[in-house]
Amino acid sequence: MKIEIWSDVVCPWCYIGKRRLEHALGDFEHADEVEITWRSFQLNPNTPRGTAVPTKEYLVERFGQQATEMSARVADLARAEGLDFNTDAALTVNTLDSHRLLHLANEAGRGDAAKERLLRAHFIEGADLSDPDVLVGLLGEAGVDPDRARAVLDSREYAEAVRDDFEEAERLGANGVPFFVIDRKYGISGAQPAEAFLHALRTAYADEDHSAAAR
Amino acid sequence: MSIEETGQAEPTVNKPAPLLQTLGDPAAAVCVDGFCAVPETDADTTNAKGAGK
Repeated sequence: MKIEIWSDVVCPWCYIGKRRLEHALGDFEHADEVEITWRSFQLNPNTPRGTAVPTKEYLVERFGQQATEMSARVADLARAEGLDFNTDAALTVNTLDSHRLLHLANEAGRGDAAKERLLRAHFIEGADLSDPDVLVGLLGEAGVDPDRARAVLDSREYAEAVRDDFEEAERLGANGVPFFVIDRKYGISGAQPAEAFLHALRTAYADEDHSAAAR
Repeated sequence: MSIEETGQAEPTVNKPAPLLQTLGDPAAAVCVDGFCAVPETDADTTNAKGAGK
C-alpha cells in the first residue's frame, strides 16, 4: 500500500496530521506493508528566498491581530498530539529548498526521517530553514549525506520535481494540505482524527485485497 | 470580529478530489494559502474557530 502525502514543513496541520496518521498506523494490522512518500506543497511560495520572518509578525500582517490567538489554539491541539509548538520562535521562510532536499531524502530512503526533522526544527526548535547550513545539518541528522545535500542546495536540482508535485496535487483535486493519497485511488484531505485514518487504511487495504483476489 | 467578517481570509471548505474516491471527514483541518482554519470538529476541543500559519 502506497501513501503519498502532500505537505509543507511550515504547515501546522501537516505536522498534526502526520502524528495522527502515525497513531493510526500503530493500530493498523498491515502497517508493515505501507510505503510513505512525501510530496511537496508550498503554502507561502511568494515568501522571498533567503529571508526569515517571525511567524507571529507574518501572520498578523497577513490575517490581522487575531492570528496570534488562533495560532495559540492550533498549538493547544498540537499539544494534544504530543507536539510542543513554540509559536514565539517559529520563522516563516520560503520552503522550496526544504522541499528540494526532501526529494533527495526520499530517493535516499530517508524521506520520513527528513520530514520529521524539518517539521520539528521549524515548529518546536524555531530553526531558520532559510539558512543552507541549518538545512544541511538537519538533513545530516536525518541520515542524508550532508555533502550531497549541500550540492543540491548549490544547484537547481529537484526544483522541477517540487513544481511537478504541486501541479499533481492540483490535478488530483487538493485545495490545501495535508493531502493524503492511497494507491492513487483514495484521497483524504486534512488532519483527520486517527480513527478516520485507520478506517481509511482498512478500507483501502480491503479494496486492494479484493482487487488482487479478482485478478 | 472573525476573520470571516473582516474578509481577510475565506473559510476553507475541502473540495472533493475529482480523480479520487474521498475518504474521511471532508471538513478536516487543512492549510490553504497560508491560512490554517480550525474546523468545528477540532474547535470542540479548544473552543477555537481558526488559526493561521
